[in-house]
Amino acid sequence: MKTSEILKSMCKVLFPFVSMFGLYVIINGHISPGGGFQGGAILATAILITYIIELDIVENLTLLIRIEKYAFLTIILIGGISLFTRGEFFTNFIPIGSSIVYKRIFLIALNFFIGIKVATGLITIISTFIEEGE
Amino acid sequence: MNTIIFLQTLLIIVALTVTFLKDNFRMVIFFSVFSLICSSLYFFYMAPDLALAEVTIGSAIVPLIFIIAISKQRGFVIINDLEKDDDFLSKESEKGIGYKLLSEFAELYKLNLVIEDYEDEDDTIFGVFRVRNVDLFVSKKHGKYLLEGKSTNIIMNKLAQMAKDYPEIDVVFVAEEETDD
Amino acid sequence: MIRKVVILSMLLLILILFMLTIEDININTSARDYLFENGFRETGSNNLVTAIYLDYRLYDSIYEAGILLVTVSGIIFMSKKDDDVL
Repeated sequence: MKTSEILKSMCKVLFPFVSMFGLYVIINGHISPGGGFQGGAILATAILITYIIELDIVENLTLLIRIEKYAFLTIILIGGISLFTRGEFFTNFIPIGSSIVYKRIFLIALNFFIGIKVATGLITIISTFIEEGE
Repeated sequence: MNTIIFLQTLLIIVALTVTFLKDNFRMVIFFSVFSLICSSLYFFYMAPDLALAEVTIGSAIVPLIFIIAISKQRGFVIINDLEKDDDFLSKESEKGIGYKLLSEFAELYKLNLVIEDYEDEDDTIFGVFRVRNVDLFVSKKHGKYLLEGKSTNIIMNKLAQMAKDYPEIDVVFVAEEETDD
Repeated sequence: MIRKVVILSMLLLILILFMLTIEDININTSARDYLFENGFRETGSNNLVTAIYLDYRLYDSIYEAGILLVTVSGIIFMSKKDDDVL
């Protein structure tokens, strides 16, 4: 299938902005609307654009699956730390009395890992579908 | 408030269009329009988080998956296991009744006919079915032409109905489990 | 014909039920009020949705992430050619 030149150049302009917006939504998840899932989905759409401009960023899927697996384990571990600091599972690991600025560290870290996990998962799904379709 | 009512009526119209359209590609485009309107409605009802998720999943990723699946359904792969001088599937001569029937059938569903010769490499018919996504297998037995296809393929019923006019053609259904292993 | 009448009557029934539930709606707003007052102070998040799914209900979101992992592995298993699996 041949893609037109106009579409290609428009996508080349669009690609950095879309990936930047995805990272913004992930990092600012606790202040503005959005969060890990939404930002990860936007990042996956940015990778989808690279298929139109024939950049071929995704080469081996096993690496992506490995990244997703470790991101999931990291999420569980970060959630589990609160057992030692607060005495209960799956909540903020910074003590209740501390200030808001420190509590945000937990939110940003967890949003970041959830974003990576969702983005890699969706990219894997899209790439397997595109490979099957050829 | 007026915008919300306008968007809601537009949403109903687009949803009805998606259900009643026959063309698959247009249906996918209307589906992405549907999720775009849906996400703007979410935004007006003060759920911006949901709107972000809907606009990425509903109008970018799901239509892509649909388009890939539809474009894969376009080809109708036929494996030809007849002798070389048999003109059952040949385009040119008048005798190619099999080709006439199959092209008529493919035109009905707007499919592309892909006819390939059977490569004899110590492989059973089931092996061919498994490895390559084959829709139809043509062979000759006792003077009759056998068209073997999967019984799970819905459009095969139409082919069997069309083949009733030709007495020398038999349409045989093979169960999916047999073809898999 | 009979099928269409049955489907239409079912749709009408659903519409009437929706209208009934909307009319005598009586929401208990205690949870919302609690989150509105204490959410920012307890979690440090301006976005209360994030406060809920990353702090109060983290258990749910972890399993949500796990469902995506299971989905991806299932799709990869199905898309592999038979020769690679066997």
